[in-house]
Amino acid sequence: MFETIAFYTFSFLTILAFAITVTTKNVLYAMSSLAGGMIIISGMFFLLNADFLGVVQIIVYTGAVIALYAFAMIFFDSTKDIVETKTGKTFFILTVLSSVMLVLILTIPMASGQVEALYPIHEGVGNAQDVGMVLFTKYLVPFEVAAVMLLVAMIGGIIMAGKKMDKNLTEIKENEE
Amino acid sequence: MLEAVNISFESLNMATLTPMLVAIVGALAILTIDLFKEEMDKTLYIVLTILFLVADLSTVLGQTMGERGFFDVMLIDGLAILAQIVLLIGSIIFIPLAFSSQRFHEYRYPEFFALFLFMTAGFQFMVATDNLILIFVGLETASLALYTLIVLHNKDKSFEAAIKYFTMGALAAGFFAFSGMIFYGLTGSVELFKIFEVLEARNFEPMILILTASVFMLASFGFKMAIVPFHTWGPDVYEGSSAALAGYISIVPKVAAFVVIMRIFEGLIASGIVWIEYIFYAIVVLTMTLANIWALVQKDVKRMLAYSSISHAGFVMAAIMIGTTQANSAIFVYWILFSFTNLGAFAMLWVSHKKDSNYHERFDHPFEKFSGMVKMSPLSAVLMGLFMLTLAGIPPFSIFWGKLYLVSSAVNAGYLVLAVIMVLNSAIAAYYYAKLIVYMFMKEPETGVDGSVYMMNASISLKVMLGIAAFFTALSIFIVNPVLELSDFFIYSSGF
Repeated sequence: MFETIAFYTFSFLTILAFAITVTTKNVLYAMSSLAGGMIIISGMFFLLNADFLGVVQIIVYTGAVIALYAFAMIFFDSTKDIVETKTGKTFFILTVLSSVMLVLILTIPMASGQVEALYPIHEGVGNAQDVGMVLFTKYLVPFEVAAVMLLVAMIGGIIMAGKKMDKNLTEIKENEE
Repeated sequence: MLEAVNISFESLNMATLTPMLVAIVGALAILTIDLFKEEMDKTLYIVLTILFLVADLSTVLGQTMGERGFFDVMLIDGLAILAQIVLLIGSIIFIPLAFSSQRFHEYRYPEFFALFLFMTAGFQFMVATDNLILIFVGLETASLALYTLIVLHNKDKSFEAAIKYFTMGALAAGFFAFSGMIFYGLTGSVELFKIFEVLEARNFEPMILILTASVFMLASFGFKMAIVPFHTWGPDVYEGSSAALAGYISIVPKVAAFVVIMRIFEGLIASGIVWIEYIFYAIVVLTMTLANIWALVQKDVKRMLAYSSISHAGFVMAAIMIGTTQANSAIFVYWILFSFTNLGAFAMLWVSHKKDSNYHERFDHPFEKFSGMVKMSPLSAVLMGLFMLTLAGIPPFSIFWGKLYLVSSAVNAGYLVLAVIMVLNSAIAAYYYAKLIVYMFMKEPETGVDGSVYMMNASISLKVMLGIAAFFTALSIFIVNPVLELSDFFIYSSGF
């Protein structure tokens, strides 16, 4: 009973928060509601007994990703309202309806089927231990490759923002420097 | 408490991971060298890259088929080995194009070569696993590196190209994750063999969900490979990147994507869900035909080649749809032959790169640039003509044999209409390749130009690469049979 009430409260709040993100004209509102939505999603994880993932959700998404967005926003004038060129009411209603349809089509058969998880959680074992055990045995290689991916992204970001990109050797003549 | 696990080193089966490790270590080594000694010449890094790729290739050749490693995440079957060989040889023949005589912005960065090696490792991870998560991570590693490589050319057009590619790539990544999520929700597993096991056990129900997952997966790889109707970024990216990198994009990333599509869709098409086959059929026909028609109206040779490689990818997708062993083997025969020819065609554009291009306000390689080429630089005109004839599929040059084998596999599998469409498309394609030949051999040169531009960017090693491409293209009649046997052997033994 309590879980059901909590689930519906969290779902309603999540949808509300993200709806504000999408519809608001002010960037600051959009960002704050995005951060709020991310925190509320972690409530879902806690309801599912996945406390580790819930904490990670808060730390990574709210703490890191949103903070990054905020830093990026500092460079723009974020108090200005965004003026959109296309604002059709029919378009908006159609979008909402079709996304609801899509979710229904996808979730109803999934919920009715009996699905066995490949790595179920063990009773009486901490969530972090369980995740760690799977992450460092079965998913060791994907985990390490993800680290390589982040390294690649970091190298890419650094050289693209670097000073050497100011001058273009591709276009200037051979004997000039 | 959970019990501590003891894992013996032998059970990890390190040999399955060694090739990728070689590439990653190579990339880190290049970064470290730059850390200790700055401003080294690019030749050092080019040679190091080639060396590491050759070492990588030799470890791939030492792998045995049918092995799994690292808790069954890595999968080395014949398909994985063959795809890695093609990937690595493609990379090895494209990186020497960096020995250009002119200076280019990207080759001043040692990171260019490090990212190149990271990208190769990413593609190798994609083909050597059947775990959707590892496929995803490998794909993203490779894509992120590739976006950066495009930007490093440092022209307005390359920024535009990279942003377009990045946006489309992010969308594709979202589609892939969504599709993987549905498969996981259906079966409780992200490993393809397990997914098919569960799906078969319950007779591919509920079908609507499998269909949705397949459509998302197809759209995701459609974006990555520029299949019609997801191709819109393709020609712009080719135009914005340097000719050498454009040639690379048209060959190597697609091999990795083909292999993943084969692994996922062979099982789905064989499941007897008719709709998946219909969707595939439509996409294949659209890709072949529309790309050809768009190529007809292009004013720039590079954009024309971009559309032509989209069309060639459509041919190979047809083989994936047919799905017989002969068709799967034809994919690799076709693609190996195609890569040598495309290497030649893009290398010809690369050697004629000119810094202050005044032929056209927008394009670097308009058709007019090549008019009357035979009068000024006969050898390069003949070479370019050879590559164009080959791409058109004129016997006895290489792609003809690939097309022949592909069409015969379509006929053998009973797809007669598809075979007719393929042949018709080859006929359309011949027209736009011939257009360039007409410009080169029959038009008068524009006044006030000399032939020096056609070899402007050439160096000894670029000429050697052109020679290799021309050799394999012209004498392909002698190499078709060994390539065919090799491909048959690997495909047959991995059961596709």
